[in-house]
Amino acid sequence: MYKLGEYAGVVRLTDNTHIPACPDNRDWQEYLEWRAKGNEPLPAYTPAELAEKQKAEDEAARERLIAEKTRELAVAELKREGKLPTDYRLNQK
Amino acid sequence: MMNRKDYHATANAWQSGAYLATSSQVNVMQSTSDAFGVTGVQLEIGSAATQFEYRPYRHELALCQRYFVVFGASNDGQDIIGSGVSEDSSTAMALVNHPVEMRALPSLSYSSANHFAFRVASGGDNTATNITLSGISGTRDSWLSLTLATNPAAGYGGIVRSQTSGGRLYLSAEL
Repeated sequence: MYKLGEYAGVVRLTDNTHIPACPDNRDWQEYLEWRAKGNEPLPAYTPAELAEKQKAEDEAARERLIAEKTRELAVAELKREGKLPTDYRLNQK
Repeated sequence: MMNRKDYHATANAWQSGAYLATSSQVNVMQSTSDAFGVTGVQLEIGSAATQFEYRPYRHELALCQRYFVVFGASNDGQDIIGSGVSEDSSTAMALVNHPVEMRALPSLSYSSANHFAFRVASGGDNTATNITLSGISGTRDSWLSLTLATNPAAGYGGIVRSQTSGGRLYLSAEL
């Protein structure tokens, strides 16, 4: 049994081997033989895995937004306190 | 080295039959756990034998690595596998150089994803939850995509290392 790879190739589910789409690769040849028998690989992600992936991406986006906003607020406050030059650029790191 | 009991006879006395040794004969293959090794043999094409070819270890190793490479065994639990950069969405991309050019694009397998981590200077180890091959891998190097349990934020350079004893990453291009 196989599933499609995230970027290319396939993953053999029996031993979690990631197989590139290479005609000289023995594992890929075995996969093609398996396909020739009418088998179909599973999608790269199950619905549950897709939901988990989306959740992780959303959490990462939220964390980035918080970090960015925190920085904006800190810079604005420091400018008000005169601890930063008024022409300090926000994206300056 | 050894002799079947059927061919044992008494020493210093004439016997009728085929006997080869006494019961004092040492039997090096007495136990099923006994083994013997044979070295210095080579297979050759054709009927003419040539001199035995002695290959240096480094040469033999390189010939093997064209077909199969193991990462993680040289410094168990602390091996540096490759280097890369963190991306968005809790992932990192890392380049792994093959010791020699491999016969074909290799298949990737590993002991367990969480045996490996993406280590950045400011964030320490970010344990992997999945490792896959990127579509731009080649015969001289492999691009790995690591999904990480913790996110060091995008744009950090780092190394991929084994963080557990027994952490192994395998590349196979066997015939």
